[in-house]
Amino acid sequence: MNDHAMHIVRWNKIIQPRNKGGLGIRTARLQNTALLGKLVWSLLQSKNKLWVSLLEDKYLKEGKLFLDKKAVGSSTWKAITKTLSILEDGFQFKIGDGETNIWFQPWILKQPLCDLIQDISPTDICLKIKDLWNHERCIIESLHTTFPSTITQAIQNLNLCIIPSIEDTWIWNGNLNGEYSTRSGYHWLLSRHEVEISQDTWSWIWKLPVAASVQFFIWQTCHRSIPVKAVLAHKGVNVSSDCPFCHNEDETILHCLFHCSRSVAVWQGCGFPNPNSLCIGVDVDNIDRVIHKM
Amino acid sequence: MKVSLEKSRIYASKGVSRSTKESLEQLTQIKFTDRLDKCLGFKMKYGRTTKEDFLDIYDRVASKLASWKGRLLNKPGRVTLAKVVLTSLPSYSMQIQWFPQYACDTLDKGVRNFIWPRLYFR
Repeated sequence: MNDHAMHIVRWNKIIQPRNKGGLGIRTARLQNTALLGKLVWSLLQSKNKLWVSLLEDKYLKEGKLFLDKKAVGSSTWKAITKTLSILEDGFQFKIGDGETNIWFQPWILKQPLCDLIQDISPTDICLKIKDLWNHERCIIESLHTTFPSTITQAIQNLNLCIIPSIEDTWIWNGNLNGEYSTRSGYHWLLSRHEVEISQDTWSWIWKLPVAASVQFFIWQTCHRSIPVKAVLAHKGVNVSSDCPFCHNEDETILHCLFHCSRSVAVWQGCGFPNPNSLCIGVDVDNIDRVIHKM
Repeated sequence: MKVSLEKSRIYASKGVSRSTKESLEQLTQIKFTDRLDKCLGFKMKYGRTTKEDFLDIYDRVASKLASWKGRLLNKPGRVTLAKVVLTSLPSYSMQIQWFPQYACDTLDKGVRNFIWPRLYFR
């Protein structure tokens, strides 16, 4: 125990947002991925950045970002492809004017169609999304290329609405306005890593009109993680769990804060009612409600 | 966009001959260099990234914390400091590099050890 401090609240809890019981600390891995997501987003979006056109000319043919997952190239390019493979479920192709070639973008399924179909008839190679519809009727079955039935179905079920004034574009699902930001990327990643789904029952702590150190103490208490002797003994520290004041009971969180005759005296000395009247039938699981009541 | 030729340097890989270098130097007016240094506090790197590159980042974070006298702060103060220093300092290099897992683990561990110092058992 000498060169290790006790990390009394688990790391997985700390990294949750503050309203979900954590401290809102960002982990390096997710932060790294979320920041790199900005590069992926630029590659998907804008064509007028110098570095984007440089990378496109070097690594991409015909802008087929989703085709080239082979990580060959500079360390930054490898980072981009790796990030894309993690974030790709969060990106969605939004059809506007339908001017996009149907083969090279994963516009309908998670993969580009040219990955799924071996024999593409040469007459169909230049097909654009809008060409698949003729007066609102899907003409996919009359093409020379034969599509597997799953793809045909997916395309026929698509409720397509061509908007000629807007270009086809990628949108990011993690943000309401469809734009990627590091913040939304981070939260999207975190929500997929969430160990336990906890509700927003924690905001009240941070809104209490008390000093930050008190808020922190309450936060720790609600995690049942203040270093009282019973907790320490449970975590394997070699202490007796007897209460050092009354020696009658184990020093549990409840005992230390409410039940011990000494703490009762402190509460009453500060002008509070006897805490034991508030927490009849309370066990350690709803300790937060007791504190809330006070 | 303007490029300052005086501040620019070219770095050539091994196979480039001297005469090519000289003619390129004449053509572009940019001098050659044999090692890329730091640019805006970020280490320019040619070739494979090594463990040392990431440890360098961690060392900078650690030295920042030591100089801040983190031990004088209470816990919420340390949490805030950890958030600001530890998560913003590496963010510059995080934007262009994929940090290997050990580097991420080291950084996270730094945050943890900073938030929970050795106070309880003194």
